Amino acid sequence: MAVISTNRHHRVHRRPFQWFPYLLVAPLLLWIAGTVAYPLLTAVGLSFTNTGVVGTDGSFVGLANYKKVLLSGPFWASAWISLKWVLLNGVLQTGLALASAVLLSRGFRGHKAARTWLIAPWVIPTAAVAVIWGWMLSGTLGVVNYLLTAVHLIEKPLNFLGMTSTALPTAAFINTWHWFPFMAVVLLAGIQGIPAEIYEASAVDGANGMQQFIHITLPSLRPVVSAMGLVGTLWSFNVFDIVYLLTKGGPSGATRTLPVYIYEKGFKAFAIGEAAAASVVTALFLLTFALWYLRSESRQAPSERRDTA
Amino acid sequence: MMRIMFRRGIVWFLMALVSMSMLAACGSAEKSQPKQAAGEGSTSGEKVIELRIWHMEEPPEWAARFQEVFDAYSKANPNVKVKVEIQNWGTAWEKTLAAVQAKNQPDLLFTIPDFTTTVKSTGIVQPVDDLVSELNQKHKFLPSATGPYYYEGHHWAVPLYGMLQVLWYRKDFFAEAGIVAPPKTWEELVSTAKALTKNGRYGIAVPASKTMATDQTIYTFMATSGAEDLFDASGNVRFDNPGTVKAFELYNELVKYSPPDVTSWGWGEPRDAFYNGSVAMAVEKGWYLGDWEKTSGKKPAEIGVAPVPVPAGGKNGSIYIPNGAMLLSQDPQKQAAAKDLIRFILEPDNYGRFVNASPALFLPLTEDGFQSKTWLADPIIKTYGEQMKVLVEQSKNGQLYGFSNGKVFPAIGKISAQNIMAQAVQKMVVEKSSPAEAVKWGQKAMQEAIK
Repeated sequence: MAVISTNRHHRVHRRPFQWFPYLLVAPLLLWIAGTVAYPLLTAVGLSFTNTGVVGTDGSFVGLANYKKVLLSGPFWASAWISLKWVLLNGVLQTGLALASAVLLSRGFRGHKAARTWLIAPWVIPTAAVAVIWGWMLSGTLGVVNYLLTAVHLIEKPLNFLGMTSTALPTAAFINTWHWFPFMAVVLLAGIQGIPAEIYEASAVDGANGMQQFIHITLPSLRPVVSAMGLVGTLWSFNVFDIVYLLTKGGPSGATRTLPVYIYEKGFKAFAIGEAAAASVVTALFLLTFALWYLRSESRQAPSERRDTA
Repeated sequence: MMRIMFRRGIVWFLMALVSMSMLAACGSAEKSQPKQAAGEGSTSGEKVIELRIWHMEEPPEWAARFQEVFDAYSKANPNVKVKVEIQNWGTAWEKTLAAVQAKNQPDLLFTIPDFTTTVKSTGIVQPVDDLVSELNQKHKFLPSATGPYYYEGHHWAVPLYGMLQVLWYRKDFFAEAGIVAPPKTWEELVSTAKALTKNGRYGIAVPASKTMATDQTIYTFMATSGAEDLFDASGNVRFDNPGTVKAFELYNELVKYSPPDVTSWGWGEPRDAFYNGSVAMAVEKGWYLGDWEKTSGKKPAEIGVAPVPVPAGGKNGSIYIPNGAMLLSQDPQKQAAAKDLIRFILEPDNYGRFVNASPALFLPLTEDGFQSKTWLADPIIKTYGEQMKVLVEQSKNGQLYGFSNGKVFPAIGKISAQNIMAQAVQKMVVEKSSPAEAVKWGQKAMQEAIK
């Protein structure tokens, strides 16, 4: 250790530079630089050019692509669809995951097997999920329409993924089915972390199940739900695979979320510069949302500490 | 102290493992890049040339039959190894363009004319004038085969096999309904579809999804109503014309007698519905013959095929798609090997086997191909002789969007990549726009696409 001051009464020992921690994170940083930073910077660079087909050359056009995107009706239409998609997924996944977690936290018979089977939808690859549900919802051969007509809930088969009114909610339902187990597992872990004594004490005070849920379970889960809220929103917003596999953004653009719009702009309409601009604008939206979310959460956190003190 | 050292040792080990994994990944990525020069490896000491081929014929049995021909070539030419990577038409455009950008494109890429116009824009497609000229002299290509690939003074692909659409119908359902002959006019088509829609069965299946299947089917009807030219002589879009509107009006009627989920259907679903008896008619290509007996349980004579019905004052026609192969490699040895492979494929005996990868779907494009013993000897071709006559006859009347009447408009690639015709159909079928409004929308979308 180096000695900085030679004053007999006060010696400052500065530790030598610790290179070891940096060496530990270096491979990961290189990986992130290669797989995130480089493509990101390339996309930003492309957004200022009029590059058409990916791989061809384009010229610098300044902010022209941004102007096109911000004035584009289809871009805002897709943004609106993305918002609906995120809200639908948020409500469905949170509700289903919470209900599953609460149910599984009770020690009913077979709850361990149920916990194992719960994750089954999550482990199925997305492409398989799309094919399975596509067939199940088929108007001519699908089991869903068969059952619904058999019990006379509908008179004739419905084209769930082929009608503008039902395509987005149906795709959101399928995406929820696929992903809610992950959220359920996280919430279950959160519930299991709540001390049992709090429930016992509340039962002694006469609280019923609903009151315990509202006044103990939900507040205790708030940090977990809050974190999942941000992560889940960003993940949902960026979902491309299940939407494209199920509907390719159809029918007639009804499920053309922003990721689908950007993909089609870049690889179907051969306007990669414009697609890059759209993706930068979208990233800025999401960044703004994330910052606002974190800020409002951190503002609420001190008042929560006062409440629980 | 020992514990700290042990922990540090573990950390160093893990770091080394991660670093080595990253280096290995980079190394294997380099190895997977196609070598521009021929590689090493033949036991005889001769350099082995690896030819990478991409094609979009996904069904395993089709790919297997292509592979037989490629293997026969490799056996006859041990210094050339043919490596096939199967893609699909849904992602062919973007995957190919990404591969070209990554300098990882295949050496030979199977294609259709509008796809060629897009890939050519990257500058990677090699002209094949000498080869087409040589093969034309030897085997005599159909004019409709080479035309769509010839523009800017060069041939950009070698034609390999053709496809066209016809009207398929279930003779058993027709007999049940007392219908003695297939419809010849649009009016008869609609009334027949209506008469056959009952008891849970639908009269016809016309796709209305945002896919190439819909593009091709709507265009099939446009080709009979005088709307086959999507561009005028100056290259301006002329999608919005009376012939197109009539075709859309017909399509709107036919969708009423189609299953409700046709808005999600591509190629496979109408065929499955035809086989399982859910629908009585379909407008599609020759592959309906291949699995008819096995899947439907019906006899060969019970599947009917007829020319696509025409409107009053219309003309016999259909969509005709000459599939080809583009040469993308810039390496002279690989170019020579690829050309040699194509020569091998087009020799009548090999060609018959190649084209029968999907008998009746893939049709020969050369005069001697139609006479090929191996083509004619295929069990499907032999069994369905009457149906094949209709297919061969109709292939003389085919057109293709962007390449109709002997003219070539390379801008079509930007239109077909976005399935704009299919989107216009969806505007009509899903959003309930009128046919005229849907066509107007299509016109505007196409003009925007080619700007």
